[in-house]
Amino acid sequence: MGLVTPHFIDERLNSFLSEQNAGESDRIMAVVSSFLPDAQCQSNWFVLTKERLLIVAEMNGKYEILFSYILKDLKEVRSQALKGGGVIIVESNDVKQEVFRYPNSQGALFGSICDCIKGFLNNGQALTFEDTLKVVMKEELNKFCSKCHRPKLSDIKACPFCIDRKKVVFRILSYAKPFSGQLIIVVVLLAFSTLLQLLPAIITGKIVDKVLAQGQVDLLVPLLLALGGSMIIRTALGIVHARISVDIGANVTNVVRKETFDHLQKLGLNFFDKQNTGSLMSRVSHDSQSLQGFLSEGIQYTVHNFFLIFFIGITLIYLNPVLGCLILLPTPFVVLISKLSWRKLFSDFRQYSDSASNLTAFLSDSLNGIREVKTSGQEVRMQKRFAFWSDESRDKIVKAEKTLQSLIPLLNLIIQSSLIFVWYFGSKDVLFAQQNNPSDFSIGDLVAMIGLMGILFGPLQLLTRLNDWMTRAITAADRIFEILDVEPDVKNQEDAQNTKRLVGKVVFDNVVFGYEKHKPVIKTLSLDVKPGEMIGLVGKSGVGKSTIMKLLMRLYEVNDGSITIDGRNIKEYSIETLRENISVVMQDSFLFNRSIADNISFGHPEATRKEIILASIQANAHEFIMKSSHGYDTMVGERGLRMSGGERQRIAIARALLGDPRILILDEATSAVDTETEQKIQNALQHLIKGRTTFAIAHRLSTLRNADRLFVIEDGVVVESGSHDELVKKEDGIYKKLVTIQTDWAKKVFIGGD
Amino acid sequence: MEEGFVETINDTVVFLDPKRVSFEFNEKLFLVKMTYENESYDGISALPAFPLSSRSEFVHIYKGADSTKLKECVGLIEDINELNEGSFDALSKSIQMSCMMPTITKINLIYDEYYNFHWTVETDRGNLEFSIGTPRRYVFRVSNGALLIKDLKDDYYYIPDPTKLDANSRKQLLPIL
Repeated sequence: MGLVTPHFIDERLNSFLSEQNAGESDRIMAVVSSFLPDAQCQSNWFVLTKERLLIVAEMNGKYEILFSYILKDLKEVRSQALKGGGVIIVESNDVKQEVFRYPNSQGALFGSICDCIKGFLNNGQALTFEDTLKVVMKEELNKFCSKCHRPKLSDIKACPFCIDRKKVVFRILSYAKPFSGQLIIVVVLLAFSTLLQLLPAIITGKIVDKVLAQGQVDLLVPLLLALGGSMIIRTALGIVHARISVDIGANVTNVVRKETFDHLQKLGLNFFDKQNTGSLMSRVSHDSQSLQGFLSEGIQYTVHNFFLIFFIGITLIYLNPVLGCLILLPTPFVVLISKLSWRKLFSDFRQYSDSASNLTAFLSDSLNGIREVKTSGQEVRMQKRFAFWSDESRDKIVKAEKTLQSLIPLLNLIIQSSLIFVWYFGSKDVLFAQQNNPSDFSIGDLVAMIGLMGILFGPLQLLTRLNDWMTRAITAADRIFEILDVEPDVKNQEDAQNTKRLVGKVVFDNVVFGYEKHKPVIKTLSLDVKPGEMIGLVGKSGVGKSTIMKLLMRLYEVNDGSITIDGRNIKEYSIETLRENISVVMQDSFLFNRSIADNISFGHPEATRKEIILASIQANAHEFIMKSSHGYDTMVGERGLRMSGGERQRIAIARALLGDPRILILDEATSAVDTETEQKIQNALQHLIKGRTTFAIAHRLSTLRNADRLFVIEDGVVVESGSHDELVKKEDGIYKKLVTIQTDWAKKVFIGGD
Repeated sequence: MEEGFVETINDTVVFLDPKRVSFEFNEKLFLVKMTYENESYDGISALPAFPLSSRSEFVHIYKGADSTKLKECVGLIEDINELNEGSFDALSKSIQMSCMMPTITKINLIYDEYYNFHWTVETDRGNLEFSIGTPRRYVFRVSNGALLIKDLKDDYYYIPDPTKLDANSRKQLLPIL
């Protein structure tokens, strides 16, 4: 049994626990919470050894044991959810005691710990923390950076404090490998381009010296040609390296974006359940955009500015070492002020960006809900709220821009103040040189240095932001890599079978499943369904009916037990085989913003127009499709919202029919429509279920009367099974009770009686 | 349950008569006992329906709860201020222990580093430190200007009225809002 410590025990606590015989070798776990038993905030440790449970707190700088129990003397240990957290209640010698409080985030962890202890107390199981608890424990550990122990941003795996920047940069660059030749060209061009950027200042100096001071008029044209030439060549080089960089950036981003989307398509629903859709969309679109910015502009600017500082520094020192140092004197001040103010600027602009997002979110909400706003007469209230967010957005941008616009003149002032000293000492140097050795330091040299000085401070300001800016790009890249590194939980086995046509015999054998493993939704469920049989799944909301079907489609993997089709475990079939042979019609079928025909043939793009029309006729959809403005080419609108619920359902049925599936799942397929539409859909379904193994889930039990067999599910297991007629005869049967409730309700609504 | 113990509003909602019910807090066991005449329940849980905006109203009393669900609601008290002083204190203590979200009373410092905003605060339950990500996704404005803050671990903190915080706290909060 390994030591499992999800939190980070310091040496002092470790030695205290050792004194209590709960040292590292005795300890099974030690988990810290931020609450004392009286719900005051302070670190409190839940420590478990093979024999004892200890609750340890730090009081006045010393560790103290608040509670200590011999495990085998305990009658019960349970966790209870509260608001914002939970409590562990221990019962021993018929005395109940609340011994430990934990915050909301640790609910799953302590639920699992208590389950393990319960197993130990009730069944004499060994106190080991395998599987479930390890999963929960891993999730708990994942919330913290393993290096610095800081909590991590929930949707970012990498800790920004400890991120291995080199590793991420190399990984980004590995995508640019096919473009390595182009990258080398960019760097070489940048070096040349930077050198050419210095030429105007140097040539200006030469014009001053040779043409104006010494009167060598014949040099004017060649020098001006050199000046013009350098500008033209530099511009040409700039265009070339910028175009190549854009090419590299866009191509690499395109590869990464496509790879990310392809990988997302392979991931199981388990992954999507835990992720925020907005965050995923942001990773694919926004983060890959950041990556593109980094590759096409970031690298270019960084390399260019490093070259620039390097070349200017050397030239200045070469022209006049003392004056060169004087020019560089304000550098630390510029860097320091830029760094300090950038922090504030970044915060101001982030606030503006947040307020702009809030404004957009409010706008989207209010426009999407415009019907509700109008029907409840809330226009004025919405106007006021919009004005609030709009004013806030204005205030934030004004604040940010004011800071920025004040900063730039301040930095210019610092730079210009050095100009006064440069002119002062430079002029003296020139005069001194003219009296002694004019070749030492000329007026032209001074002019050139002043020109170079103007170029120097731009890159300096940029470099102060480099760290923050690089962090942003690297974090964006890492967010993308995090997705790419997720192993799909549902994937084809190496020897997965591709079977064109299944027969449709389905067996669930003691299946156990929970979206969170420690909270099973399905508990040892067994079903045996013959090919072509129609099965109705009945039960209250949340008992796991839809989950059972998701398991059959292998959208999730079972935790325990097995599901077989035609005698073979579904894991042995390829996922493609399952998708081809199982079709589903859900309560609110999703339609893509494409034409009706495209939506019907979504799963079978190879279907002919004739097949699409025949499927629609069978689904009772043809008539309304033909009445639509563009027939089968009518666009259904975003999420199919231009169509009624019944129309969407019939398109979904046509989609299912087109696949000619062997197994059909109807998950509340008619619950969202009126009775007349339901009748039309039911007629359509009659075509659909013929000769197929069908699972139907419906709250309206009347729709399941024709099922060959009904399974009543409660608390994750089958509690009753049989035909409608058999089940209604069962005294005190759950199905009978449900039918009675629905019949009574129907009487009340439609007849108005009791 | 004894006849007349509660006033039945309909099949599912029962209001407890504050004059006929009493609560007692056991400091040692951290448990609350509810008594009505001769009947009593040990270890009840008191959960208000509005744990953020009004903890003293519509307080639901549960017995036999476990980690996933509250098993049985004995009834609810419309306003605990109508209880006698001892019961009010006991139930207040129980609510304080059941609604564990700390209320921030003072913000000593908020600083940001790599998009992490690190907070050092004083709360009604003691001093705390926590970190949040970008405020847009971790700080929520709820009714009447109150703020609900979610930290990186998914734990929550509450500021009922930011305008009533001291000057430094408001200054610290400024870049967040």
